[in-house]
Amino acid sequence: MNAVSSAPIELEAELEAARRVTPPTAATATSTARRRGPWLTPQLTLPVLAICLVPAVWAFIAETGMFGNAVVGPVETAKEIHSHWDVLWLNAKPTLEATLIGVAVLLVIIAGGAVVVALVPRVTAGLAALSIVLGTLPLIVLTPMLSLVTERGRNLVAEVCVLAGLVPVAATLSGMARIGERGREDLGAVYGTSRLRWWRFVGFWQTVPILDIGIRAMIPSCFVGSIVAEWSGASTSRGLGQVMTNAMFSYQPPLLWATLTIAAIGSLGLLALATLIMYPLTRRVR
Amino acid sequence: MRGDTPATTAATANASATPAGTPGSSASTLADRDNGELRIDRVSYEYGGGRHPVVAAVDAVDFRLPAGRLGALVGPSGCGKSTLLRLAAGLFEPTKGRISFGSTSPAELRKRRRVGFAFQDPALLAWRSVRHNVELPFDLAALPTDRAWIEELLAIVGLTEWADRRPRELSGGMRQRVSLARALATKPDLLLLDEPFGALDEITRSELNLELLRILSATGTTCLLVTHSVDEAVLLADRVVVLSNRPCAVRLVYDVPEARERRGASRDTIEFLDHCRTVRAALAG
Repeated sequence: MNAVSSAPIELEAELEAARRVTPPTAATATSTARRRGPWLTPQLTLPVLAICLVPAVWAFIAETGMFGNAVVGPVETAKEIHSHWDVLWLNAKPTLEATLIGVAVLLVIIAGGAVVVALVPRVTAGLAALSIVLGTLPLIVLTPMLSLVTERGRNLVAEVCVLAGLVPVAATLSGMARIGERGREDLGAVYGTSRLRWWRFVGFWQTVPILDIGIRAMIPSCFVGSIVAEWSGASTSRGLGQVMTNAMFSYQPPLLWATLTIAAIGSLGLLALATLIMYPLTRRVR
Repeated sequence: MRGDTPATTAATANASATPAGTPGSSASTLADRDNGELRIDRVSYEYGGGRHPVVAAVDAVDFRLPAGRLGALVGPSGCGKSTLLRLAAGLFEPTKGRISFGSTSPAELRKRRRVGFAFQDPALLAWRSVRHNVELPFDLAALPTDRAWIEELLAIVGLTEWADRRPRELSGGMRQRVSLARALATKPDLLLLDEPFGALDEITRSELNLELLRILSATGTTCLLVTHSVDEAVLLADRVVVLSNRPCAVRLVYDVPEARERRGASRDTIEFLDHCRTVRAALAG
């Protein structure tokens, strides 16, 4: 169908002139960002710079000797990791395994929870309350209690890990329920869209940024949960938490720092994995 | 141009009865447009109740808008214009009175996906291209996408070259044009515009006013527009409805003479200023 022929020439001319106006600056900015490539964004470069800054600050503090020999610098720590790699890896493996199991369980909970919040957004209030309740539970007390019903070992560590990750997960689902519904009362109502259809085409995509943040917050919580579980006796003999406790009580600061560094690297690795998993989604909604 | 989707099948049955010369009659127009007059018959609307106090938003509003014409609702901020628009869309049920569009109710019209709604905030989806944003109503309404019509719509709003871009790459005016195209995607019989140009600068607004006139001339859709601008109302509308403060009641129904012939070229004429003066006087009470 063409524009109505009876429209006066002035109207068409005016419209043509308006269309010839300089293209929007946003487009120019976007094309510049595209030329720079996806990796050189402030969202990525700033955290990387901050992570690089940590060893520098750490080395500086160790060099000043303000905490005596309790703080071991990054170079000595690297040497300690190198010399005790077998022991450290042997202990890091069960912690990582338990954390990965916990993360996998939580991802399933998120997926199931997303369907629930899509169908019953009223659960938002309940989820917010749940996240507060879970946040107030002291994990260190939960572990001995759970050990009464679950055999000590990897499964118990994974259970505590799941409990630790549930706080950000509940908060994320609560946020998803609220954000996913945005616009449904207007646009969704005009087209008589069902909840699931709305969720599929609009709601889910609206929640991707909060989902991304939630998963990033969940993973370090899981790692901390696993280590705290091991401190409080959830593991039988091995685990990074166990090594930390032993190193602390036998006063071996280099081994303690080596364990801490392994834990930090493990956590960063999981974070990178989560970022990679979420990248196709976050890239699409950016 | 119409009747391509299942939802339009019933409506096209009597299309041949459309009188020639009416807006949109150049194409195969809808049966409902024959008597597709929007009738707002003494409509009142109250909300609240229970633990909340009952608030009257609309009070016995009564006016009609002939098929294929553009009506503008003008009134003070918060008087209930948007509520009236939602009532016309069938999103709310009137407490008293009746709204009809031709022989059907707004709720029925909405069920048949024959209502288009453009909001003040274009609310485009950042993860969809311009083309896919315009296609969104088909996805939401579970209708097969009419790709040929989408391309035609993109051409009508002058965004063919921008069809594969994301909303963030567009200017405010272009986003509003996408929003308009999206509202027209399902070939609605009734187009409702809730201050679609409210957040735009004067130049873009003027440009889009002309654009809207052109689009409506091309599609022949009946349109009800909410605006704060008296100039805009007089420029665009065939019929201006001036509303009072909340609860809104009709102060004046003003038929703008020669509105269709006027288009965008007559903002500075004495007649145009006279029309504006009349509407402003009614608005001031």
